[in-house]
Amino acid sequence: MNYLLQLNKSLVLIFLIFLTIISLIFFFVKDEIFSKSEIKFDTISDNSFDILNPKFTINNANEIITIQAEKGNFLNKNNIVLENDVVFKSDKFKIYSSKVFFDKKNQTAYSKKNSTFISEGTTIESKGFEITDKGNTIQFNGKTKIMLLK
Amino acid sequence: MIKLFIIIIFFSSSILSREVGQTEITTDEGIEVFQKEKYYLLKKNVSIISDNFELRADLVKAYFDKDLYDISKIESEKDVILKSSRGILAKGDKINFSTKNESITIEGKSSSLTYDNIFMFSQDLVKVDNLKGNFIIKGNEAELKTDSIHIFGTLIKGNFVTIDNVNEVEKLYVEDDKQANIKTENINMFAKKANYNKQDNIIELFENVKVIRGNEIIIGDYANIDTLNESYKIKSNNSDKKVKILISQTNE
Repeated sequence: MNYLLQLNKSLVLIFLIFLTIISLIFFFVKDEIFSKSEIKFDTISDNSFDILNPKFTINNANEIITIQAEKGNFLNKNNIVLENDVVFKSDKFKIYSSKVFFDKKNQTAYSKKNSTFISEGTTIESKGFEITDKGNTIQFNGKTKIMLLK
Repeated sequence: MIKLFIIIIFFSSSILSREVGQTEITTDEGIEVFQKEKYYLLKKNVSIISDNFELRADLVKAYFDKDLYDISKIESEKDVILKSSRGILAKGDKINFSTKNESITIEGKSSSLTYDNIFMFSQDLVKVDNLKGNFIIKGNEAELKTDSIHIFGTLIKGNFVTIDNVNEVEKLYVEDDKQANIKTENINMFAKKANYNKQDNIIELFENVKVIRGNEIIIGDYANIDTLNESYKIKSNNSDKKVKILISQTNE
């Protein structure tokens, strides 16, 4: 027995027409789709970001340090790269840098870019910094210049 | 963004050169700030320049009171040189000093402190409380030198006063396991222990005393020397043991 004869001929015809239309559409617009994908990829690497004006905090028994930046990108669930006008701010000090890696889980941060620390009567210029122990310890790396103003 | 840029430029330009009242610190390998413990560590080729002092060392631990600018105590290590605006020059392996009470402790080999006309040296410890004028020089080759007196021992302690910008030793105690040595312009003295009091102008020598003045050599157990007229009394504690005077002739 020929099973093909049991199929609804009109349904088969509709399916074939639909398949042909889809194939034609794909054939004519595929170049455009791929070119757009490339543009999108470039945009991610240069200008896009995961968070605009991200804000985080580091808390310890003595103070709360707020962290702000112009943009942030998640490297994974806990690690974020903060870029452009990164500012660490507490009641006692501020640290300015252009790029900082922040670990949300361990409440640590480090930068290898030029950094400026400012607190009452104190300015520190360094080639990067590292915050550990929930902000109790701040290490300024490389050639460092400190000016005590009082 | 522009605001931030202006702030950074302002502070960058303001630290290019030190002004009066400011302290400038530079390091080759950074600084570690311990906020809870209230101190910071300065690492490698450290230089601190302020109105009151200049310090060079390889490792410096600076304690602060209110904030980082308010340094109360400095502990420094490795080839330390400290110069103060009051004329102190200290050198040693390790120098600790308090900026509040102006006390300086120098430890290690070739520890030295020069304060205008006073020179102190030891292979172990030199300690000076500049406000009170107290000092201790302890250890091998302990030495104190002024314009008028030169002392060697294993322990030298006393105090000095500044009169008309000249430092003078006011009180002094010297001891040595073997023999301490005190030299003035005309007298060379040896003993295990010695006391000096500027007010009375008296040097007292105890145990194994030997006094050399010109061609005279006097040996005894105790000596009392008047530094003004350079007269002296020497006695022996034991009646069997007498004071010995040796007079040598010069070939003239």
